[in-house]
Amino acid sequence: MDHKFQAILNSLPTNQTRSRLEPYRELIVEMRKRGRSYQEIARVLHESCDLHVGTSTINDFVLAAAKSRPKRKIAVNNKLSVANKDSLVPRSTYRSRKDIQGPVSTQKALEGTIRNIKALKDQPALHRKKKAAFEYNPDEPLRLQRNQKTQE
Amino acid sequence: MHQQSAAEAAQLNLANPTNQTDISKRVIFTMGGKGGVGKTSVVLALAEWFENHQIRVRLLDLDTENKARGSLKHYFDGTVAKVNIHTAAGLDAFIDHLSADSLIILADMGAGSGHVTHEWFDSMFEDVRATGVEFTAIGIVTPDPASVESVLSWAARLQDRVSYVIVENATTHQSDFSYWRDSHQADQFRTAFRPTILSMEFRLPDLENPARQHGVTLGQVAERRIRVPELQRASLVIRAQSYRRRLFEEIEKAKGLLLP
Repeated sequence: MDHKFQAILNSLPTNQTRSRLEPYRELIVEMRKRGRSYQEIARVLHESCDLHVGTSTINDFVLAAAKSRPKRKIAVNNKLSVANKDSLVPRSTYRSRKDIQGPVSTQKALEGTIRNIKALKDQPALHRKKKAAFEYNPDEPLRLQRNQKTQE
Repeated sequence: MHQQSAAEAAQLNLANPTNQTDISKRVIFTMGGKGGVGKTSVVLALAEWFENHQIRVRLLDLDTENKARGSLKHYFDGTVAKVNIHTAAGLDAFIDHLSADSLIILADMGAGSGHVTHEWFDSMFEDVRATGVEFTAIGIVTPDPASVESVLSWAARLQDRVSYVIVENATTHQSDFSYWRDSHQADQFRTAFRPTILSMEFRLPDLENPARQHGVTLGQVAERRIRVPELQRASLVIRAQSYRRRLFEEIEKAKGLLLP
């Protein structure tokens, strides 16, 4: 970035969060993890923290917090990372597909496929031409053996 | 011992059609490269041998060029299926005719059928063999070296996919089979595939020619089952009986390759 632009950015004051819920982020996220509804969270904030917020506000905050979270790194073998596109599909996709158990089983299946491909490549071709037990050149006249013996 | 068991099993199987999946099947065909070597005569002899043992066989006349006298159909009209193999299906008739009532096919190939046969074996053999079908190729050699060359050419293509029976057909009173018995190439063939070799002796023209003309088999002459005056001479009848007896004795040598 240009030095001039960088200097302008550095001179700007730190952006303060606009949400009143920011101090309670940890509490809200943890309650959601434990399956609490937005209504319950709103009641807890009111009763315990003396904070009056609606369920939709809490909903917006939770969604915004989820977006700002760093993406979870998926443990993928370096060699497989490009081919294993399924591993990069959001979790919600897996939930909608009953036949896929999850990234771990997909990973195993892929590894199995790669093993099979390698085994197939190493396997000799099935249709190798069998060596002929008898070869005959029709252009060559029949040679009588007794003539050969006489010549010898 | 093994050959007898196969024969007994074949006969038992024909008597009991419900048991037919337990036994293999066999296709016997002449290697039809060279014309006029006696292919049809050999097939006729084999057909009579099977008939003599009451073993039912399916006769196929694949010699589309040999349309009239001398063809297999000429001798066994009504019981012979004439098949044109010069189509995309090639020898698929072998598969279709190996039905419940016949475990053996006896096919008379025409001269010049090599290309079709070889192509068919290359594309179909493995899968047909997997169904329990075995193949026996009958090669007929005469003193003519071309007949030997023809057999060797076929064998070079068919390789060990078939069992080989070679018939030395004496076309003259004192036939010289030097090119078959003494040539280097024929020796290599015998070493590689160990064929069963049979002799078919020279037959008097007085018997052979009228029999061909009237489409009469050796057995019919021997058993006086025909009304052809020139074939009713006592000497010819006894000749026919002798030829047939010796021919059957020769065929017995190869029964292991002729029965499923």
